[in-house]
Amino acid sequence: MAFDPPLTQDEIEAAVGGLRAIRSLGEGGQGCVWLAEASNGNPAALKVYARKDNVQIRVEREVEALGDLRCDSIVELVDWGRTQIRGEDCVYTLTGYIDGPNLHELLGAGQLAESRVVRVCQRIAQAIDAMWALRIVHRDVKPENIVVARDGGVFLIDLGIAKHLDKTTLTLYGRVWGTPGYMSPEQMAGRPGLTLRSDLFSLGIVAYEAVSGSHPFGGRQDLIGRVDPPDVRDRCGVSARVGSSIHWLLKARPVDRPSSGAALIAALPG
Amino acid sequence: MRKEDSVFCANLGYRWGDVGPDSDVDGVLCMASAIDMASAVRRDLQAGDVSAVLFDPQVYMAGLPFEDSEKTCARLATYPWFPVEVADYESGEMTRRDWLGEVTSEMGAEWPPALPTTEEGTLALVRSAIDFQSDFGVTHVILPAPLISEPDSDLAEALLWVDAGLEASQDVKTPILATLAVSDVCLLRDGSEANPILSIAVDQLSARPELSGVYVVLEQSRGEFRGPIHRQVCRSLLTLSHVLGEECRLHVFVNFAAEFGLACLGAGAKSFASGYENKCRRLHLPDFVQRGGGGAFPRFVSLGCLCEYLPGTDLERIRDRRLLRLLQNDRTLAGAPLLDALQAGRSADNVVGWRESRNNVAEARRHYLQRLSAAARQLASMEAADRARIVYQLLQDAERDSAYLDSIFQGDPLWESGTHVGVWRAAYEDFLGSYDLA
Repeated sequence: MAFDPPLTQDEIEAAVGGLRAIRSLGEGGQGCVWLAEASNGNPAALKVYARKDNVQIRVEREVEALGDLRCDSIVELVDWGRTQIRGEDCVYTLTGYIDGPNLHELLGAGQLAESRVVRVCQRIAQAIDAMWALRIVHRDVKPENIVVARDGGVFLIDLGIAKHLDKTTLTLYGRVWGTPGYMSPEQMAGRPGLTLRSDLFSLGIVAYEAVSGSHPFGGRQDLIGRVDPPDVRDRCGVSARVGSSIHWLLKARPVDRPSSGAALIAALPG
Repeated sequence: MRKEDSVFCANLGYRWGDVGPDSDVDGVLCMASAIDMASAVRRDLQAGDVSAVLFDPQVYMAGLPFEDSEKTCARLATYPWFPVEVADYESGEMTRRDWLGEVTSEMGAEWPPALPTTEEGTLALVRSAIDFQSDFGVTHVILPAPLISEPDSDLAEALLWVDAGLEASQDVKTPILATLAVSDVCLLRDGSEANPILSIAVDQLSARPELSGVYVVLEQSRGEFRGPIHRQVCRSLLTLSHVLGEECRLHVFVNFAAEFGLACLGAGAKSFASGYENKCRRLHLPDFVQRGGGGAFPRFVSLGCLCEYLPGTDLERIRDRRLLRLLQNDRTLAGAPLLDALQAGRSADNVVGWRESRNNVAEARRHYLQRLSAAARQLASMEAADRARIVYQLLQDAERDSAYLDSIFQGDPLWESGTHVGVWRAAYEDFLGSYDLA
C-alpha cells in the first residue's frame, strides 16, 4: 500500500482543502481513492497519489490533457493539485463520482443482453474518440474501468490514472501499461505510439466477454495477437452485425480495426 | 483526369522552365530547397496544363550542414517555417542575388535551426507553411515534418508537426498530405510491418481521418546509386504504399525513389515524383554540397531495362549488337529521334539534343519525364490487381534484359549495370508474398 497506515479522513481533509472526505473506496500500490463531497456539494472521487518514481509526472501530464476533455461518457475532472501528506509530496485528482456498479461487477451476475452491450460499446467508443481527439490513449479499457450508472449512463473511468493505482497493472521498461488479458498486441509488445485502435481492441475484449460471458482468449494475454478468437456467435446468440463488429475490434493488426469509434458506432445496430 | 488521380509529378529544380508543357507530366512539385521564397512567389510555373501542383516545405532538410551547402541552407532559411532570422527581401533596394548573398553571410550561426518541440511553437511554423502553399495555389497541401532518422524513434516529433498541421489547416479545402520523411537507416533492418517505424507510421497516420494522404519522403544516407538500392528499404516503400494506400485508402505520394516510384504505384501508391537531376530524383544530403566541375552527360532512361544509358557510348554499342529491340517500349517524343537515328545506323552525336556532351541534357530530361509519365498513366488506368501484376512483370523483364546487356558488355560495361533491378524485383517479390498477392 502506498500509505501505511491508510490515510485518515482528517489527513485527507487537511491535505486537500474545500472538500469533505466521506469514505475510502480503495487502496492501491501507488495511492488511494476516497468518496468525497466537493465544495459545491456534489459527490466526487478523490484520488491521492503517493510520491513514487515518476508517477506524479505522469499523473500531472495526463491530468493536464484531461482538463480539455469534454465527453458525456467520461467523468469530469473537477480539480487537481499537489499537496503534502506525512511530509511527502503527493498529487491528487478530484473527478465526478458515478453511482453504480462497474462492468466487472455486473458481469459477475451473468452476461449482458445484446442491446446493453451495444450501448456500452457506443458510449465507450465515443469516449475513446474524444480522448483520441486530444491524442490520449486510455491503455486500460477493461470491465473494472467501465461504470454503468444507476440512471443508465455508461462511463469510462480512470483515464490513464487507474493504471497507477491498480495492483494488477503491468509496468515493464516504463512503457507497458495495462491489464493482462485486455491489452492489444501492440500494447503488450511495448510498441510506442499507440493509437485509439489499441483501446478499441480492449473494448472488443470487453464486448466479447460481456455478450458471451467468456473471455475471447481465455484470459490469456499470451494468446492475444497470436490466435484468432473463437466466433462469438458460437458462444451466444448475438446478432451477426454485433458479432462481426466485435471481431472487427479484435483484429490483430491495428489497421484492420476501425480507425475511429465513430466507425464502430456506424457498424453497430441503432 | 481528376486532381486526386494524378500519378507522376516532376520535381522542379531551380529552373522551373526545364519542365515545360512538352514534358507531358501530370503535375509538378516545387521544393523549398531549390528556390528562395522571393523567387518562388514571383515566378510562374511553365509546365502547362497540369492537374497537380505541390510545394514541399522540406522541413526534413533542417539538418543540412551549412558549411558545405550554404546556398541551399540560405534558400530554405528564406521561408518562415524555418526558425531562422533573415533579412526581408526589398525588391526596390537590392537584387535577389544580393539579398540571398546577404542572407547567406548572416545566417551561418543560426543554422541548423532549432526546430520547436512544443505544440505552440510548431503551430506557428506549420501555419506559415500552409498559408504559403495556399497562396501559391497548390492542389494538395503538404504538412511539413522533420526527418525521422533514429531507428527506434516513436515518431512523436514528426507527429507533433502533423497534428499542428491538422489544427492549422482546418479551413483548408484542398486535400491534405502529411509528410512522412524517413531516413533509410531506419528501414535497413526490416521493410515489413514488423518494423516499429512502419507500424507506428501506418497506425498513427491512418488514425487521423482529416488527412487525405501521406507524402512519403525517403532520405538516402548513401549515394552510390541514384535511387533506393537496399532490399529492405525498397520493401518499406512498398509496405507503406500498400497498407496506407490500398488498405487504408489514403493517397500515398512517394517522392525521391527514382523509377522505383513505379513499383510503389504497383503496391498501392497513387502518385510519385522524380526528376532527371540527382537532386530531383533522390534525397541525399551530400548532393547539395557545392562543387565545381563539369556538368552531367545526357542519359537515356529505359524502363524496359530500368537503367540509364549514354546515348552514344552505350546505345550505339547496343544497336551494333542488334539489341535496340530491348528498348522498343521506351520510345517517347523526345527519345524517338535518337532511337530512329540509331536504328538507321547513324551516330547519337548527329541527333539534335542527344549529342553526348556535358550539360546537353534537355532532351534526356524531357524523355525521362515523358517516359515516366506514360508508364504511370498506363498503370493508373488498371485495376489494383492488374497493376500489381504488371509491375512485377516489368521488374522481372527488366532484370532479365538488363542482366543480359550486362553480360554482353561485361568487358566494357555500360554506364549503368542492372544490379539494382534485381534488388527492386526481390523487394517487390517479398512484398507480394507478405500480402498474398503473388
